[in-house]
Amino acid sequence: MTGKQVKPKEYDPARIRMFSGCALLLVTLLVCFIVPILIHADPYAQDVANGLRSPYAEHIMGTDALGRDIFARLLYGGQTDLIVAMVAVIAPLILGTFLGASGGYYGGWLDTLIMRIADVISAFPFYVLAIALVFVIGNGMGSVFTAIAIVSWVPYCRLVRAEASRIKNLDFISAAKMGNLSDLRIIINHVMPNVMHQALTYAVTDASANIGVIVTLSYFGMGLVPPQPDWGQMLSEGQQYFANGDYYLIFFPALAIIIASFAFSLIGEGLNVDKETR
Amino acid sequence: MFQRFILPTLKRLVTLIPVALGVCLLTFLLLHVAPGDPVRLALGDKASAEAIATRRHEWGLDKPLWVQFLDFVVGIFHGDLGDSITLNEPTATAIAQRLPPTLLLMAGGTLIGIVLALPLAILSTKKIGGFFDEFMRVFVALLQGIPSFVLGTFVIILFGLQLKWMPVGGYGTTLMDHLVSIVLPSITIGIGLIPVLFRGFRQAILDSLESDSVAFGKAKGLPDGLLKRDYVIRPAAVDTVNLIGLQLGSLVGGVVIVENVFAIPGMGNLMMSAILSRDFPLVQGVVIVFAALVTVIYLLTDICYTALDPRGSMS
Amino acid sequence: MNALMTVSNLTIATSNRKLVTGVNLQVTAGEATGLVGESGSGKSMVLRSIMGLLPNGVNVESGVLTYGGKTYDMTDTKRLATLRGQHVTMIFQEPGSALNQLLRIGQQITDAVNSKEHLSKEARRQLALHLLQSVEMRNPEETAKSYPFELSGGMKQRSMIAAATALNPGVILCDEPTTALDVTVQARILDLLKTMMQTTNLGLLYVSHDLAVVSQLCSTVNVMHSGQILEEGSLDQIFHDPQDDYTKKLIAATPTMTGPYQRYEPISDDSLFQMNNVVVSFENKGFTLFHKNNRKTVLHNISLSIGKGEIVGLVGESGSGKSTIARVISGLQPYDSGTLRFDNEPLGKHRTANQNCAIQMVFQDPNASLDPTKTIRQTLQEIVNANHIVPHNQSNEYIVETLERCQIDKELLNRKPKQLSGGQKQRIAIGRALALQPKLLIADEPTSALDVSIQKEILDLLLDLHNKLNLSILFISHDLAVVRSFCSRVVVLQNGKVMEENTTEAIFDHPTDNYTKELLDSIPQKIIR
Repeated sequence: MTGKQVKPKEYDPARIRMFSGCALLLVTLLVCFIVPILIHADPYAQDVANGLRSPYAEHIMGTDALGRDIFARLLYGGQTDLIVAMVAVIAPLILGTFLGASGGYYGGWLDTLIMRIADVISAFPFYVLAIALVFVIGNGMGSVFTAIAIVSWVPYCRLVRAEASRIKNLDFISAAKMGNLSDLRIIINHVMPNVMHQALTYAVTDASANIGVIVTLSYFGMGLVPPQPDWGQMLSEGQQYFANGDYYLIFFPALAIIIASFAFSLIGEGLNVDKETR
Repeated sequence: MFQRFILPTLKRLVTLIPVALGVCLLTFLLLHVAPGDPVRLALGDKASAEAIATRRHEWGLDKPLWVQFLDFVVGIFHGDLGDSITLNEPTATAIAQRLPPTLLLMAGGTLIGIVLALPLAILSTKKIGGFFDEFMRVFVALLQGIPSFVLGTFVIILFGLQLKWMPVGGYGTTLMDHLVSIVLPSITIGIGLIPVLFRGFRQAILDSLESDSVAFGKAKGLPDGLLKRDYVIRPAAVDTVNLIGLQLGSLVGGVVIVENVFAIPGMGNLMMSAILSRDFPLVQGVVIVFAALVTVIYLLTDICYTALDPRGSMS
Repeated sequence: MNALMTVSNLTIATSNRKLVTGVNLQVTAGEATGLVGESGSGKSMVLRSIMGLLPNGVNVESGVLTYGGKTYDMTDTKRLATLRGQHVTMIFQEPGSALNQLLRIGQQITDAVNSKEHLSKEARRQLALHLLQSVEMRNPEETAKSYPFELSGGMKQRSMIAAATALNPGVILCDEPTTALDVTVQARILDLLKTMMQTTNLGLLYVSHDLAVVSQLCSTVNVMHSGQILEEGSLDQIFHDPQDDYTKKLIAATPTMTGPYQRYEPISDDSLFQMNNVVVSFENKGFTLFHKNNRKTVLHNISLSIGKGEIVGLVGESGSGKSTIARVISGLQPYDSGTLRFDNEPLGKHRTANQNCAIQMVFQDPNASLDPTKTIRQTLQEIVNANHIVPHNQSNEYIVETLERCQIDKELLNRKPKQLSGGQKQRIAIGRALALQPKLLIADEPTSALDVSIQKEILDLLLDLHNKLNLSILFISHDLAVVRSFCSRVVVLQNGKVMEENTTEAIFDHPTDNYTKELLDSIPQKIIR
């Protein structure tokens, strides 16, 4: 085919998506980490007499049943949720990418074994396995990390494996073999860098999914547990006062969750553009 | 017929054997490495050592681990998933009662998801990069970030508490009650499915629009309607069968959440209550049935795909 | 002759760049008009604009088309679309992707007619058979019931022509319809087009990068370069009396079947490489529970030798096993049985590092042969250092030196492959092979993905290296004209067997094997200088 021309646009929507995603994420992070220092917010200070008050001057987002400041809890909850979401991406990313690259490159029994294990993991519905794992390991940040690592490496692995098994047949890999480079070196130096872009793109979307996992678990009283503030738990507490029409209790944490996940998925949506322009 | 459907299905079943064993092994290990002794839990703290030993023997927990695993697998193939500690009935019976609401919810959710996502995708591909397309991409990114329990909460507030259209929880007793009560949870699941389905449909339509076969179809002088039907939508639909299957698989997980938000007495609800009461055999049973459900969905997807695509290769 | 279709003053552009400017073309009934150009010349854009198939963001700026006494404004795609199928149609390069994979051939060659006049089932079947017969399909009944994936490349191309001509159009636009096919199949498709042209008075607008193919079919030739038609003339005039410099260059670069052979003079009697009775088979993919483990043999007892300083051509069509041989020699492909010897030593399954370095390879696709994430310097440095070709501190100079030999400027060393042209990438790939100081270079279709003018440069480079370094080359190609001008000895392969092996002169002048003869007859070779 002739005429495969690159068309530089005055503005590129994918770029706009990515930058607005990054900006949103940055703002969220700044708000969660800087503002508490500035306003000396205390998420644990109780004031039962002032409990369940809808937003007013002193507590701009109101107070919960124990009279704790919702704004402060929101910010501290954000610190935990955002950090856990981002850190939890690392283990599955590394595990999945390495297993996928090795399986795809070597093929044969190693590949079959890895893919069968992946099949077993993906035979379980995501939340079922995650919840079961946290149940078994017990509550706490560590078990959230472990559960996510065990469940989430599979998509990375599949993604990378498909790419790696395509790349291993490309001529530059043949040339590397003929140049006496070892298999390990070829995987790390030539296969991984070529699949990393896709894995990283997926990782951004995965971070967004992780926020969902963390808050969902804590919504059900698993994973991150009180008194550590967390968005999911705030929502579940707030739901008890639904009937009174006290929506402010859930409105702010829900908004926070949506904004944070939206930031990540916007970045992902911006990075993902390559696939379709080809 | 044999060549196209039965043989590939058999092949697929054979490759499922190791996966099924793996699923059993993982489920088995999951609950055996768990801290807390199920016997002690069942009998309470004050039980005598003898009673514990007897119960231990009864449940086969004194046998070597691999024998226990073997018993477990053989049990599963007999439909025996052990006895629930808290419900005083076999796990299998408890699950069987809770399966129909879950299946109903999945079917309803998928249907609503497809009905919403497909037209949006078609509209969006009318003008790639146009305003609606760009809007949908951002909207879908927004939607993707909303966990299903948050979505469920919104749906409850909007349709249940504000508009008062539908009951916000429970399952009722008659079939009509059932159908009415799964409407809101199904909407929640359906909306949750939009991002993935929309992206999948959109990409598939895009791929077939840009394909040489559409170009050649035009060059042949086909009218637009026929071209759209046979050369765009049809290949796109075949391409998305796999996607829908995969999504259905992961959707099962979302059902767990939504059932609990809406208090639908399905399997997900059962699982959470089993977890709260630390009913190990019940958790184990539910987990394994969920895995079986997903596997059956994948198998059906493969068969569908074979039926729709003449190349009919099963991977 | 009166013009059947004319295009005048056609300009195609993106929002910021003109792709085609001021093109005028004319198609005559019963004749073929050729449109020749290298990649990026805009030739396919011209065809697509007539069909209203330009990609998103590319538009016709101006242009007028006349057909059957009517005038069409080419910016008016709606009106232009009324021509499709009944008057003007188009066939594509990849019949595999142009056919709808989900519909039976019979259905898709008749659906255009059916949508206009609702045929009965039987009438539709008859029409399908008639159309398939008109493209000389061997068993039309069976083909009509098949899906595209069940057909060979040639059959798919015939089906596409059948579908395109279903509504009896006057003009077929041909976008390199034979480029993806083997030479022998190409010859048959060209014959078919010629026959159809004569019997039904069709006019063709034939786009190709290959002057030789165009010379077989066309009476008028247009030479296109960077969006403009540089020269238009009769076949004779263009080939014998080209006016434009670019046309001259293009013709000079096109390998022909005339002119002197590479002389056969083995530099010494020593053989550098020998392959004896090598058999390679692949496991048939699929399920093996109910069937016996069946293997497909792709190389049957192949024996072949390469002398020191010799250029051996390995010729065959797709599926002949020529690339498998290359992979066996280079150690990338395990083989079932047979022996290899290199430099008087047996070449075992596990080769020494030195043996690996001594046999290097240049690949077909320049885009796939360099790691896209590495700069050229990184790529070369890695293998040079891994093999201790020169002391580490001298590796940089060594790389610069080696690439200079391949006419690659050292400025390019810090670039990544995507910042380089196809020709540059191929030179670098040659340089990478040379950096390991090989004695035998395997060139697997090294020029097939390149434009003719660049092909010439690469061939000259290889020849130069061969002369200066006394390098033995195994040159694998499907293009006999190239092999003829480049190799001193030729091995002809078909279906994994050696059919004939001899000096180039003997093979081309006195072929003994029937397949070799067929292959030679298939070469488009009207070009006479």
